[in-house]
Order: sequence, then structure tokens, then C-alpha cells
Amino acid sequence: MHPVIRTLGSGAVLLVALLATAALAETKSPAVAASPSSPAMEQLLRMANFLSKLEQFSVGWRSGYDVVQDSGQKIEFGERRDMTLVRPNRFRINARTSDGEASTVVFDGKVVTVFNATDNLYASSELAGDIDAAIAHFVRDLQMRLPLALLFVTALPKELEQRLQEAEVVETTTLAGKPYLHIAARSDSVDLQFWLPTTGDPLPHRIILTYKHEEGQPQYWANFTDWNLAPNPAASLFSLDIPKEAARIPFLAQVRRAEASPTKKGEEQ
Amino acid sequence: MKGQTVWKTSLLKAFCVVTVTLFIGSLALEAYARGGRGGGGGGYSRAGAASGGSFSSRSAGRGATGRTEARQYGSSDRTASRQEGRTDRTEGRQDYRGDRQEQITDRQENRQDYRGEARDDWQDHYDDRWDNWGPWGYAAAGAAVVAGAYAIGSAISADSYYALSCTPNTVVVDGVSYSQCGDAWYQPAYSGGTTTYVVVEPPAGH
Repeated sequence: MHPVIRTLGSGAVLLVALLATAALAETKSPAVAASPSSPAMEQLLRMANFLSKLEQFSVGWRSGYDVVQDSGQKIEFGERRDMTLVRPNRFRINARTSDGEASTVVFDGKVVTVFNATDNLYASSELAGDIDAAIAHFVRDLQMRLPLALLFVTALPKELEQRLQEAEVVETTTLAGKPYLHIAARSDSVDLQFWLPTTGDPLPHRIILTYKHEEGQPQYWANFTDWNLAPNPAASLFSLDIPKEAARIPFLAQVRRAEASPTKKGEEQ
Repeated sequence: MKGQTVWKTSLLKAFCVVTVTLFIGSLALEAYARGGRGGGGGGYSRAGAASGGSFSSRSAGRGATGRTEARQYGSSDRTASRQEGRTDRTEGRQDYRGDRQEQITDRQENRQDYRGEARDDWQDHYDDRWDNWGPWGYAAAGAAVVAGAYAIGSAISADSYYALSCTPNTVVVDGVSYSQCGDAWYQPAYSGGTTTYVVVEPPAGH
């Protein structure tokens, strides 16, 4: 065979092989849920199932999050949150941001209320449903902020199965004298890291979320403390003692909705 | 004669002291007003993609094809939102109400879809970004200005509100709290984790 033809033939074979490899890689690129048999995924689902089945708990966490400014400068803000949750339909969250602003969110099974003690303002929205419905209503309908909301819904296992594409154990590490499994997971929009205890109840000790497609890849982190699985709170914990002089205000989402459909004005209140 | 000179000197000193005191006082008041609450001076934005602590992001990712529609909706909204937020924060004032209305309609449709379904249908209309709180684009933004005032319907951040040129007078009408600053009326409302102020028409009787 002529050397030129042989060279061209080899080149063609190589090209076909490269194209086939590229095509194979392309078909593999769409998100595939993390294998349930992955040890890391098993640990995450163990945590998720455990959390979703708890009848009640209280927990506190300190957190920080990056805000990328217009200048590109990344600034970290922080807050402290304390949550008490009693299924099926009550929770309370006390929050204090790093600038000192204090607020409380309470769901008593019928109404979700936010009270801002700093401004002496409150807003509420009626809702018949369980905690899952209340959290979805609060975050999605009212466009209110509730960090780590997903951790507190009973659909957490399904949510993780649906969202996570891969999960791996990074290492076993020691934090404050206790061993933890450091797990790295990925979804299509967020990279997640969890620190779970190697023994005992699979309650998260630390979580970091990286918003990888956002400018500057900002992170949210949370360090959990004081997990209590039997707080047995008094019923009064889920009723807000709002001062008489406090003013009631709407949620902006409700104002916008009323603007968009004036005939339904006041429907949410 | 000498006594009169001394008296004039004392009067001049007193005048200078009062002037300097008033000047320093006005600077302090202005700094307080512009600094917002909690030492938030410097104009740093406190809200962004990571502040929600969500397990999802509205930015485009490389997820499964089944989520494309939701992602495109979220992505385009987020992009528009960020661009508006940036422009507003930089220049302070541009009219974005039309875009906002589109987003509101989108969100409203989403909400209605969600509420129309039973809770156990979680998977049937699954949105893997439901936990992503979305208002930081416009909650933190400034607002449109028409002839020196914010446009009706625009929302301004608490920092912008506290930086208004006057001390707003609070009025409660039919149980709803309003604030008046000159000819402009504001209605406080919760957005995200903070209070924002919506520019509204004067309430009935005002």
C-alpha cells in the first residue's frame, strides 16, 4: 500500500476513534443521580432519612455567606439561628444577623408569622398544612429567606436523590475531638460538603454550599451546635408575643401579587 | 472701650463654637442616616446568591434535560434581576417595573401551579429550585426615579429608605402602615429576610 494512503487511512481511523470517544463522552455528560450504592450517598441518605423522620428537634447554627459586590469584592456576612421543630405542623426560628437585626419566624399550624424586633414590624400569612407546606409557602410563595430550608422537610431524601449527581467521601477528619466523615457532593448548580459523625446519630455537624455557577462562586457555610432530639417545647413557644405597638406589614410578594391581579387583592392576608 | 472689645471677642468665640458644633452635628446625623442600621455603612450589599443558603441556584447548570424549562426560566430571570440590581445600585435609579411585572407573572403562575397540587404530588411537578429564594435582585435594588422621586410600584431597600432626604412620617390607615416623605408614600413589606419599602399611591384620605 502506498505510504500516503496508509497514513491517510490511519488518520481516518484515529479521527473516527476520537469522534466516537467524544460522542460517548457527550452522552455521559447529562446529569446522572448519584448511585445509591455509593458509600457517600448512603451516608447522606442515612442523614436525610434520619432528619425527615424526627418527630421533633431543636438545633442552633452559626453561618456565614459570601456576597459578591459590584466591584467584585467578596464580603462575608453572618448570622446565628436557633430552630425548634415539632412535626407535623409547628416550628420556630430565632435569627440574629451579624449587624444585630433580630427576627423570629413561627408556624403554628395555621399561620406563618415573621416578627422583626429591630423594626417592630410583623407579617403573617395563613396556611393550612404541615411543615413541608409551610416552608415551601414561606420560601417559594412569599419569597422569604430560610437558609437550609431543604434540611427541614420530610421530602429531604427524595430531594437529595433527585438533585445529587455524585457524592464521594473526602476523608475522615477530627473536629473538636470527634471524628467526622467529610463528604463532597455535586448537583447541577451547587457543590455541597457535609461533615457527618462517624458514629451515633447522623446529624450534620457542618455544611458548606458553593454556588459554582454564580459570579465569584460564593459560599454559604453553617456550623451546627446543640442538636436536641427531645426538646419537648411548651406550646407557648409557637405563639408570638407581638407588642401592641408593632405594625403589621405585608410580604412584598403579596403586594406584587395584588398589583398583578387587583381583583384578588387581600386574598392572602 | 476695652470691655466692649472683650464682649465682641467672646461673642465671636461663642458664634464659632456654635457653628462648629452645628456643622459636626449635621455631619453625624447625615452619617447616621446614610449608614443605615447596625453600622451598615459603606454601601455593601448584604444579599446575593449564597445568602439564601439554598441547596440550589437559579443560575444555569448542566443538569438533566427534564429540568431545562425550569432552569431557563430561573436563569433568565436571575440574569435580568442581577443586571437590574447592578444598574440600580450603580446609578441608583432606572425604571425596571416592566421587567418586574413579567417576573411577578412568572412567579405567580409557578405558585398557582404548585398550590393546585396536593402535597403528596411533590414529584409530579418537581422543581429542583423551589428552595431558592429569589428576591435579592430587586429587594436590594434601588428604584426608578421620576422627577426626583421614586416611581410608584418600585421597591427600595431599607438603606435607601433610611437615606431619604426627610424623616418619614408614619401613618396607619385601615390597619396598614404607611410612611410619608414629602409627596411620596411608602409601604413597608417583607422581602427575603429584611424590610423593603414599596412606593405607593397616597392612602385614602391623604
